Amino acid sequence: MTGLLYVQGDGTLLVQSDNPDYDAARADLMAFSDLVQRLDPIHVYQVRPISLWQAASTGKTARQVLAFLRQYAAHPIPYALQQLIAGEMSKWGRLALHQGARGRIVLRGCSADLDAARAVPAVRELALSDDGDGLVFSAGCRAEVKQILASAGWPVRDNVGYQDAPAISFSWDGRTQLRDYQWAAVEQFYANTRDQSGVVVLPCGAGKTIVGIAIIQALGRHALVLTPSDTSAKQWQKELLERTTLTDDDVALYHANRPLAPITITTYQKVAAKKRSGEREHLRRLTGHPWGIVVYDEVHMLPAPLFRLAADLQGARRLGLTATLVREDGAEADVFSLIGSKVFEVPWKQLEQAGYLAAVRCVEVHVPLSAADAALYERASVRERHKIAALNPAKVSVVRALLAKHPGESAMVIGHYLESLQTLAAELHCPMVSGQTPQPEREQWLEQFRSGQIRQIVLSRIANMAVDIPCASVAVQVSGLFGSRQEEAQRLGRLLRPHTKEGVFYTLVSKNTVEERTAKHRQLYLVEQGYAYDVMDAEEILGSVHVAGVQK
Amino acid sequence: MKLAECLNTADISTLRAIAERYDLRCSRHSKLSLLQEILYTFQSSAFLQEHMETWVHGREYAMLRLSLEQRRTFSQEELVGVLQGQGADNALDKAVQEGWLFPTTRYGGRLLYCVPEELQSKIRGVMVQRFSKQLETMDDGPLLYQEEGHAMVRDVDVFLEYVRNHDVRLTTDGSIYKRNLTQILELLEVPEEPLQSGWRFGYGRRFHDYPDRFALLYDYAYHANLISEDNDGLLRLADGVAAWAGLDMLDRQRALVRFYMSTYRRPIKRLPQVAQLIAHAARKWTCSDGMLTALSDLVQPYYYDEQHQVWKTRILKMLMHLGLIRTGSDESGREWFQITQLGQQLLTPDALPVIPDQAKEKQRILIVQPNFEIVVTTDQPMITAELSMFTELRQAGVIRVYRMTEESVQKGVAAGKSLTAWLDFLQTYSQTPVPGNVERTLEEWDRVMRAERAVEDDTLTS
Repeated sequence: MTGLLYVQGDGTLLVQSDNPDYDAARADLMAFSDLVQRLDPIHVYQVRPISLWQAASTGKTARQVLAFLRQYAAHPIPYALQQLIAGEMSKWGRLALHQGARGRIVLRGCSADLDAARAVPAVRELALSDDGDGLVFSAGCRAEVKQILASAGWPVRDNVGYQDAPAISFSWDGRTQLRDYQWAAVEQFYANTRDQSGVVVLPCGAGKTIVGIAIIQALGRHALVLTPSDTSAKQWQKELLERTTLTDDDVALYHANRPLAPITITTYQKVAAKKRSGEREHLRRLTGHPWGIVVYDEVHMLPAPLFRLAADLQGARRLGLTATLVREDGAEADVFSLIGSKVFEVPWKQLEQAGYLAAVRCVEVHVPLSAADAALYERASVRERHKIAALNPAKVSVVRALLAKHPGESAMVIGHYLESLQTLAAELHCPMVSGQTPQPEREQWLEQFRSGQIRQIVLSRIANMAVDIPCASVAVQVSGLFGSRQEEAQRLGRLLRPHTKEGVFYTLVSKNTVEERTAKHRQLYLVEQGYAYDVMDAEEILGSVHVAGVQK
Repeated sequence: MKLAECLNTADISTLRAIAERYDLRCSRHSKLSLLQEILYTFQSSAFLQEHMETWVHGREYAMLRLSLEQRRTFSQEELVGVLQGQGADNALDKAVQEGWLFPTTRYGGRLLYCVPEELQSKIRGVMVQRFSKQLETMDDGPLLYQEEGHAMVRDVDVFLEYVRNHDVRLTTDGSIYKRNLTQILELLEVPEEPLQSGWRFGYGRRFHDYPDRFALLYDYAYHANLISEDNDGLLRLADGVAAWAGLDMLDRQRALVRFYMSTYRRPIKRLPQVAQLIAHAARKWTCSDGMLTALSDLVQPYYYDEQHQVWKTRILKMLMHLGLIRTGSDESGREWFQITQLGQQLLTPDALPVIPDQAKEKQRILIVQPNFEIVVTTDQPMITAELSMFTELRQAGVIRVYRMTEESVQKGVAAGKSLTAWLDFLQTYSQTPVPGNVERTLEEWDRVMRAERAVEDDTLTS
């Protein structure tokens, strides 16, 4: 194969990853397709209706996409795929919801497109009336209509507009300067061609929080910020207070017994919490307030059952912040209809090249199982196998050897299984922070790590949450979950905060086990973002002397 | 011939006429000085540029046709036919005076006219440029367009693979059973539906059995001896496969293009010229309708095909299948096409098939149709006499229709004629390939009749 791209009629794109044009072409490729599989040296991307709608919503035209494919493909583009691209991209913006009379909403579009909407039974059921040039729904169905039509193959633009919200005005403190891409994201969010809702895709460490604050500031209305964890909620609060003229009266974490602040921050879990009666009182209280905007931090972590929440908050502008749109549960279409389309995206590598993110080297270390463990592994059930591979005791000495290679550098060890993490922390004589660590202690350790008092730390899954850890330059991942690429994105994010020198991201993988496969899947995200993985064997790290020890 | 040779063989009065025409300052009595002066003058590109305009003026279409011919010698009648349609009676004399057409008897003693090589290519340049000016073009091209690259070559391989691995049964007509055909068509890279119904002939041996693209592909495979329709009713791979496998991609594609040109040029007489114009004029995206108007009667209707159908279906669509052009329609439904890189590589004059012998082409006056009827377009007693041996006359008049039946053929054989010779006769005089079913049935009858005769001979001798 000599070309960069091999294109199939069903939208599968086979990309020759060792082609010199790949780096330059990757950003364009990602604008309209998703990386789904890595069969080195081939990377497999998939063009889907939703990826095409996303591309159209960011202003790409079918002609641009086709011109790109024609430029790089090694052969003519199958006609069926050309039709798919032109057809799906042209759908964007053709059906739109508008404000109707008496608080209702109306779906409008040309008659042929409306007929397509009418042909969906669930839409007909929801419609209150059909006045020929539009379908009328009650305002409460706003999210549902969008969701149903998206799954029926029709993206719907939301031009209903938003409720009036009380104003709050504030400005940045003198120190904070927005970077040009952060400005671009804010401008794009409020662009005339858009409906003031959508998802900003930026790598971890690229300042998503700043973009979120800037968008709230530009709007100058009450805002609700939803985050995946308490730690990141506090992080938001801290940033808002330190970087802007806002005071404690303006910004507060949600508390059931206190009044809502103009900028209220809470977690997805809190909102979703049910009373014994089954009532979601927090949700009810929060949806009752006229917010100007709702920010969904790490929107890819919004649990699917909580989509209900997003559906009930349609009256406010919606901003999603994330590092990746890909969801392992395939709910991209729901994020698309409930939060909005992609507003803005900068690939990781591009920011690294511009010097905004630290350069990172990724290394996958293959650690063999001992003979006994290998035998155990063979007999084990599928579920147990993952655990055996993850807990491979041979990993401990590899971790120690790796950290010895980076003396004096801040290093963290990340893993999923607490027992193995505890062993590691004991071996390395360093603190361990997990979900069970009390909050004050947790913050104390993190603070010491941040300030450089301690150089090494072991983190459990909570490290996946949006916490700002500025100076880790080495990360060792000893075990991961079942190949979620969100997880990988978060973990690499730990290393990519600015002001560190080149970071190294090690992933330990038990050889000849299910871990090799799941690691491969997790790494898709990094490959998407332009990173290559070096593969090393444990022997190379340990040196020949220690090999026997590993084998034992 | 080069201009120097043409001048050398021309007689002095011709040279003198040219010198007079351009008011050349040289002796009118020395052939050598005339020759040198003319040669010298014609080498100047400024001179040619100035005068070529007057050569062309008023007979653009004729010049276009002549410049696109792969031949450089033309008979007098031919030239009179081409030139006179466009004005003055003494067009031939004028052309000779102008110095781009030379009478010669070098080829077999007959009076022919010759256009010097270098002038013909210069005139072609000017004509193609003029032709292109009438065309509507655009840079961007339509949003969606079809382009098939080497798909036809790959599909030949897919088809051969299928024949290798399956028992492909043939009907008594020799066509593939629907079940197999549907499977094959589904496997091919470019989908096609089996033919529904409708009367068609003329564009190949199995054109009446298969859809356009597959018909060409199949006919090529048969022609290149990649497959054989065996007597036991099975389609099998044949000896040519090894040679085909040895060819590289481009040569395979070239072979298919040549086969298309030689098959389709019978119903579409000026196909090579049209292909050349496409090669030269369609570097940009070109509007299909505009091009057809400009081509005027270079594209003629063919029986059941209107002129625009010939253009769209038999020329553009097939060139697209062959990877030579890409085609697409814009938002307002207008069709556009553009030559591909492959097209630029393959549509050069030397990639086109050698021009068949004109005399032999002229005697092709029959059309053998898949329903065993033979249509004769010109009345030629020699041929009609031969025809009547094996057929019965169904319809007389300007166009005669003859029909072959088992009975009529038996009659011919009984009169001592050989069926093999009859088939050869049809191949020689038919404008289009003899339809496969006709060919096959004749062979079958031949076998049966031979067998019967053998039995008779046996019984007689015993």
